[in-house]
Amino acid sequence: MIQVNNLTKKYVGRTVLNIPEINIEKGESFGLVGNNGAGKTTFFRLILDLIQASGGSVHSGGEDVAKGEHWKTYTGSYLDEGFLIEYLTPVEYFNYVGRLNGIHPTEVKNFMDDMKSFLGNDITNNKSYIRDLSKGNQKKVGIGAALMIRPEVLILDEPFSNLDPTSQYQLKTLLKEWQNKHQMCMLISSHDLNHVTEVCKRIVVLHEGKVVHDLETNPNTLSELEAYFAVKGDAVEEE
Amino acid sequence: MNYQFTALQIKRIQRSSFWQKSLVTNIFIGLLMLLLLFELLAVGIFLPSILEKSAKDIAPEVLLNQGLIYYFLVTFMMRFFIQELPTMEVTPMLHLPIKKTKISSYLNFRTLLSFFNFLPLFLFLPFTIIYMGAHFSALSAISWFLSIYFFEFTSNFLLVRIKRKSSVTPSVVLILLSVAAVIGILNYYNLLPLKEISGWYFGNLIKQPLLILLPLFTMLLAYWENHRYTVNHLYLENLVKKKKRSEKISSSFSGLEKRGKTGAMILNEIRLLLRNKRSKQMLLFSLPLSLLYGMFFYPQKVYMDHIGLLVFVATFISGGFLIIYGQYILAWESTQFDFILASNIHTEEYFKAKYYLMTIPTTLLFLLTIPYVYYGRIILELNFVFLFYNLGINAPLLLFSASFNRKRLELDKGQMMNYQGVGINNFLIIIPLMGGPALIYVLLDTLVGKNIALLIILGLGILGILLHQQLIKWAAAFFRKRRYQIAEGYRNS
Repeated sequence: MIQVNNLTKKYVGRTVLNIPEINIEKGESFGLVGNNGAGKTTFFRLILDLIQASGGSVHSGGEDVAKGEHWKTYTGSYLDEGFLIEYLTPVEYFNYVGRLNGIHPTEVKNFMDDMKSFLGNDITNNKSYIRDLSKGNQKKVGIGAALMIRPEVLILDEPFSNLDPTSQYQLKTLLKEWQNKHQMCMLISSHDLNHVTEVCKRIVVLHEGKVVHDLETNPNTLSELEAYFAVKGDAVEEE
Repeated sequence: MNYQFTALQIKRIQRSSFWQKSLVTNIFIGLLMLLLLFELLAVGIFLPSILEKSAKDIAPEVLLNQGLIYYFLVTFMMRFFIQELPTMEVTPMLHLPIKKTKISSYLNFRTLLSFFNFLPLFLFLPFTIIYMGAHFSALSAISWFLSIYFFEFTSNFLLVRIKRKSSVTPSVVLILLSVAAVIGILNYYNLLPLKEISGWYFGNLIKQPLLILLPLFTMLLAYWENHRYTVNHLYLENLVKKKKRSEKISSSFSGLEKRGKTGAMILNEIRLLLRNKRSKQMLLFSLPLSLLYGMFFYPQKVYMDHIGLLVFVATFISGGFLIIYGQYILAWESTQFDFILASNIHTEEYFKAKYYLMTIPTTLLFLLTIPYVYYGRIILELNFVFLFYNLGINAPLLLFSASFNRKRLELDKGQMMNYQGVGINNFLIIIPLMGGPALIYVLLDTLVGKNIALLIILGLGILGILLHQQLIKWAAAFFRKRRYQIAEGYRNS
């Protein structure tokens, strides 16, 4: 579904991302982990054609994302608040996203009803603008809208951070369920190793813009990852 | 402590990307300011002779004394629309061991740095030195000047106090305007003889400098009231205002939502304009301004004979909204630009929606200005021709120029005197938008005469409208080439 070829991103001479090759298949759940500055968000922005690659390309469904616009019809994404329209109410936002993707308002309403327990009262009662919601609720709106378009490719940056414990648990179940049911190609980045190993079947570790591990999740993955990042911490302390 | 607050403020300004990135714009604005101050200073220096000439049998200082009250009233009104409250980020200070009275007095003293508080230095200080100093005792001259300053500061603190409580909403504007109207009417029928009161007070002040205690007292009172209010309201809940959702006007447009994707995008933009402070003020000023623009020119015979000038008016009268809104046609949405890029929005569809957003209000504005035909048929003809020019040439031009604007626009601040997000491009684009049509007309007029010139311009406009699909395509393609830079600029505020 997503092919990455010799993708590099440089900022004033410094290479922040360099990925020779990654293929992510349809129906694959792909987890991206790495410390701050490892290049996770940069990678996602490149896949969404939000920033210009210094070299190489990303193909989605066979189309170069920098050249065509068709991939936008089946890609749902939420990276940060820049994906929200802060002066709309949550319901207006869902309706707007629905309109852009040809989803009828009644379907939007049904979707929001189905998601009611995850979205919570603050969002469904539609009393305040998105800009006045808490960070956690803003995130829920963004993730919800990304899911609503029934995406073939779903890209979420740090979906678990800022969510309360119940919502984190609900989101994990939701993502696993949707991924099974709709065979989404799902890309998630996270600092929380627990969550990401639970949701994703494939984990890629980025360090300073390079892929240092690419593993299938198995019962030992979590402890392997923990060991890897613990050593990174020690290495920093020694420096 | 005050020193540290000031140092923090200077850092905040220096390190804001607005300051660092737009040096050229800042120099340009600085030059404009300098020019303005220079002109004010010139007025101040020539004030004695201006006053002498305007009324032969009244002494200049008497005339000025009578007028001062109007000066205070007018500047108060202007302050109301233009002066912003200082926005020192207080929140990170609240938990630190700093006394609230300290923060409060700093916040209040900083309001004195407003542009308006410097005006008397330019307007009245020269008069004080040149005229008052020569005709009265030094004590009289000094107390005369100081009392003006005390009144000015009273006005400053009074305004700040009002603004801390309420912002510039249509209802507040209405109240203010009606108060001004009542004062005006009372004054006109001599029930409230402002002129005499002002003349009496300042006249006596010259004789008895002790009268300066009156403005001193009002100033201290206004300051004290501000201080009391801020100290009592230095809490997070008061600083971070959560506005109540008001859903009245934009829901009446909700039929748009059924008109497919373009309709949904237009509805969304209408909501943007109506729900953000900066865009609301833009509408509040640009619409009446462009409608009433004709009133300044049409009644005067001098202007009616200069068609080149009327062309200028005609461009602005239907194009006022187009020009003011269209300059930031993409930047209005800068905070959610990643959403637009990653969503299922085809660039051409996006630009088409933007085109309609500029052209529909422009046409409506033209319809509203038809009554100006009262001043002559030529007015209607010109406005009609230049409506087509605006729709066919200026609107597509703005779609192209949009791709040069890479500054994020913060929508939660007021519009007046706010240069955040404004680049040198925004000044430059005015030249072809407003000057272009006038220049074309003048050139054609000398070559082929008035009527043919207007026909050619009408033809150009119609051609632009017929080709608008193609022009939108080109503008979209141009945008696609520059989209990364634009998005990058919008992301980094």
